[in-house]
Amino acid sequence: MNSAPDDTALVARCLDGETGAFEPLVARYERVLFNVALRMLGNYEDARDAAQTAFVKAFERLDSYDRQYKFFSWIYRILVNECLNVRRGRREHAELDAALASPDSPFRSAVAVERAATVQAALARLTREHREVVVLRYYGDLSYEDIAEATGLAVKTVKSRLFEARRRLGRLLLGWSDPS
Amino acid sequence: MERPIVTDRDFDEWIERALDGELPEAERDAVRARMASDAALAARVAAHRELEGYLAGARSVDPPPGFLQDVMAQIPAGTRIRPGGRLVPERRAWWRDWFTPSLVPRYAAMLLVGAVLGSAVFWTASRLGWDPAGRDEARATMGGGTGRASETATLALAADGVRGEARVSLSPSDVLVVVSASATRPVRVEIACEGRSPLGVTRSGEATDLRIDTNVVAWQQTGETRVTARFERRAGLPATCIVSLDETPHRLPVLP
Repeated sequence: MNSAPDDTALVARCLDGETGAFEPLVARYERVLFNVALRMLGNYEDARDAAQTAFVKAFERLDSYDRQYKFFSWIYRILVNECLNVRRGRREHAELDAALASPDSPFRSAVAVERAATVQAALARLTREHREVVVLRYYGDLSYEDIAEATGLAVKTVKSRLFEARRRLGRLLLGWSDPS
Repeated sequence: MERPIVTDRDFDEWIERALDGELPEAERDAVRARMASDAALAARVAAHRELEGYLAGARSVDPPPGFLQDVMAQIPAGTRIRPGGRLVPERRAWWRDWFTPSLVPRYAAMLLVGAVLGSAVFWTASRLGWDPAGRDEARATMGGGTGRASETATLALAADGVRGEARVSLSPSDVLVVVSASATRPVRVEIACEGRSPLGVTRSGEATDLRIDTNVVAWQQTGETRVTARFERRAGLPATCIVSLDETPHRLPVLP
């Protein structure tokens, strides 16, 4: 995710009134932000709404974007706040919809849905801090440094949280024994 | 890199950084070298790889169709950002919103769904003697209770030319899935048990082309067949299994 110069140039064009310059930014980050929202919220519709709202709010507040930080880090925080707003209004979903089935055979899709639901249920049992780093690592495909910048944590803390989160996931998903 | 005292946690962190692509080559070599002579470490690496594979199996999905267009539709062209986040949109007639490009496919989809539903209602109302129970048979019906409280659960299997039963049960060390089926035509049967590798398979009858994949047991059959697939059981984790007949999946009750 080393596209900061491009991002800031696009932001500058938006601020100059070129609305269409926002479209490449949406295209660039829609997948990662939607997936982060999906894993945070566990519901397809809620994730779509939260991610779309985050983009719109980001556009509205572009003048407050500090160009010394990565655009993703900035919009990621808007998304996290949006996800928290959505979650305040409802119970947590432990399962993902069948809509997440891969476009494969029905049997493979059923197996994939089962896997996705199992992983989502395990993610839902992590603390918010642990879930956040796991989601960004696995579903945002971010490096330790990018996770640190997006979350405002030290790289060392990111590693430590990932380590603990994986221990917990190993216990929940694969029956790893507790460390003695 | 020389490390006089190396703890298990050190190695776990090294393994994770290696899997994340964040470990320098020199340190990766150190892990590899120790793996060659340390069976316990090799097992830990295998466990980490298994977790990675598990999480990778549920990796990112595509955003909903029309996501980008929907976002851009909320930011009308010509909108200017004013300090404080206030937007000044260009003025446009209210009726133009109805013809936003991203909404047109939705209208078309709504019309199509309406047409299909209407046809279905008409067809159902005009057809006497329709047997919903017979339709349900083409899917699967549950038998033997919900399976949540017991250590065994069954599922009746029925499809065109195929009748049978799938049973899942727990032993202290295994998850056993037994599929007994009678088919008057060739049928492809598959069993998957979420997150578990098959440990072994026994069969009787006319099962051919038997294949054992990472987490799937599959075969082709006609006539009477009974296949028992044994999957590893992991303490404290539920057994979630799926049986499919010709790609139509049926979820077995979850145990325990």
